[in-house]
Amino acid sequence: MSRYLIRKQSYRILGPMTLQELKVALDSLEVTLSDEIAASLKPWVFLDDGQAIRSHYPEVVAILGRGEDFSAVSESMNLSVKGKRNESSKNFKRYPEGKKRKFGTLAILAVALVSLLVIGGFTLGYFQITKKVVAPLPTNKTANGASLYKEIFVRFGSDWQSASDFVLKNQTEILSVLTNEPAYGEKLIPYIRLQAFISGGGFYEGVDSKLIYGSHDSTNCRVSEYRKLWKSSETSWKKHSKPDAWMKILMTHKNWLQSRWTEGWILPKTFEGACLFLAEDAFLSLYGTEPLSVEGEAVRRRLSRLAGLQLGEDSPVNLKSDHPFDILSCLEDAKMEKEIGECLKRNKDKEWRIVFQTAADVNRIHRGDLPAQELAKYFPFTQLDLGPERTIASELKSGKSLVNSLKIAQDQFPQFVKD
Amino acid sequence: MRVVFYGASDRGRVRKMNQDSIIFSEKLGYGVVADGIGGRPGGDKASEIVTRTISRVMAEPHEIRYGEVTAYMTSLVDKVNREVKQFGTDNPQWHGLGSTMEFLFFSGGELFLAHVGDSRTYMVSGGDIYLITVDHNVATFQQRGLVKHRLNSGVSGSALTRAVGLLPTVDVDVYSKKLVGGEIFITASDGLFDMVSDSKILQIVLDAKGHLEGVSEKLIAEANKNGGRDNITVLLSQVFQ
Repeated sequence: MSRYLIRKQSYRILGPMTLQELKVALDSLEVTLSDEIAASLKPWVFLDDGQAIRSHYPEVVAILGRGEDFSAVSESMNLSVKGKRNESSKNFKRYPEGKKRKFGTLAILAVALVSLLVIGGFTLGYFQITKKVVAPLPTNKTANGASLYKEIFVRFGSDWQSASDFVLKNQTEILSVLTNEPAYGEKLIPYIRLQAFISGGGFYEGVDSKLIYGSHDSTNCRVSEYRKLWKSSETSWKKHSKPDAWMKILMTHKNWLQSRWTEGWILPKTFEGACLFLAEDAFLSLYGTEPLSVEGEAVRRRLSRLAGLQLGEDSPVNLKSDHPFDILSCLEDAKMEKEIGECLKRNKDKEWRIVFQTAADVNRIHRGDLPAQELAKYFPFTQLDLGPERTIASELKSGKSLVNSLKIAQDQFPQFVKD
Repeated sequence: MRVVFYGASDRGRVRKMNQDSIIFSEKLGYGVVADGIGGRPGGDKASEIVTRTISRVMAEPHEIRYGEVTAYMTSLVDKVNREVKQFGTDNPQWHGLGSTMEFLFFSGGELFLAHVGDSRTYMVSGGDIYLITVDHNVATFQQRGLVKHRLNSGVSGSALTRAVGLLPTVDVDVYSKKLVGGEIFITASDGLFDMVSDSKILQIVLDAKGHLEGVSEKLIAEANKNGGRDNITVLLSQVFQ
């Protein structure tokens, strides 16, 4: 009897398993169409590659759903993207490639009609506005926190897609554990955050956003807020290569982002990484795959890359040609502090200098090995007194968000932060 | 669960020196195979730095919690990469040195495998053989749609797309797999599988009927019999329940 290995996008290997075991794994979503399959002495093939599956593993075709119709299977399971494979992703794609939201005329009329009915209903008093209550859903099912946590932890390991799917499917049990078994509830919080930020737009039904966001200032870290920011700053980033301060902070030094592995987060690795995902969600909802200017495309590539790095994806080739973010590639490649200085020497934009040098220094401050007075030696080419840098570093260290820290520095030192 | 290692390395029939390196420790549960990049100076130095650095770090006392092994290995590989790169900077006659790396770590009933380059790891289980790793070379990347730009016709398909020591950072694939008693992992530099077919490798391993002493040497001998055009290094990891 043939047996098969499965290689998930997270590089987790499952099997060997029989055809029947594979069917069970597909049904339970332990294996998805974005994974690869191989038998002994046979090539690896992606499960959604219909032609290759039919050629090498015809016996597998029958258990994949509708036999020959792979496109229908893919769409119904909403698990893979036809035509483009992000094979370099160590984990998974969070969503289909840049779907642009389109509304047909009929759909618009339908929405308008429903709106009129609802408005009319409110006017006539048929409906009442109730305050949305965010609380655990009632459940009669007793969940065992220990077994639930063990199941996620041991069964999925770093297979984040499967863990996220599991958290979504077992919402009732998870909410029960949060309420009745707080010790295990705390262990589940990183996985709730995983599901909330990878697929949930920052929400997990039944769980207060304070729990999801933790102690961080989440004011700006919402899809709705990022949509406003992207739209309102279009002129600057789409046309003039002059990203606003909030965008610069978002696109900050990847090593700094990745080094801030905070307890209570697994993926995204940090609160800042979570905001990056939501900003990307917002960006895609607005611009999808719409062609942008050279500057706009650079922003899109940068955002995608940073989000991908959170997911452990490989770096695409030719990063250094990303315009206007050349300096970011330079900073990300820099490992020594003096290399950071070399990157900044090549770029005279004061605002970038402040954000990125500070990010690198904050990293060192968090590690406890950079006294504030040593900041000066990283700026031999400037005549500035480093006041803005010290302020931002100090505010970040006190727990303020990046955006608020920069705003405080802007207020205190307007001549160094604005053109 | 325990793992027993068997390993050997050979210059082959054609190359003047052996630029492969191998190291393993049953006590600490890890093994490493590194193949220094030929055609560049310092390949032997690069592979030696890979094995020596991993050996040094693994010998240090530390605690790795479950769920953090992948991150730990990635961080360790970063360190190895920096050391190789720095060696090339400090010694200009070996500037540009690089190496592949297969770093296996058996922990908590699982195998964690950090992979860079075109050395390979196979798994033998139930009489079958499976190639686990994805080769980091041009031909494989093209086939998998990872190479976005048209290549010049002069670029060889076997050219590496990733290696340790060439760039300031290295992208490493970290595989993981729950172990089952009886599984055998075969980790080797390309001097083996470029000369010996996968089915022949499987046959030689199965003929040993679970007693793997001397099998690494038999695989090397088979590669040499077929030409031995490159250095050959083989590490066998046998899993016992």
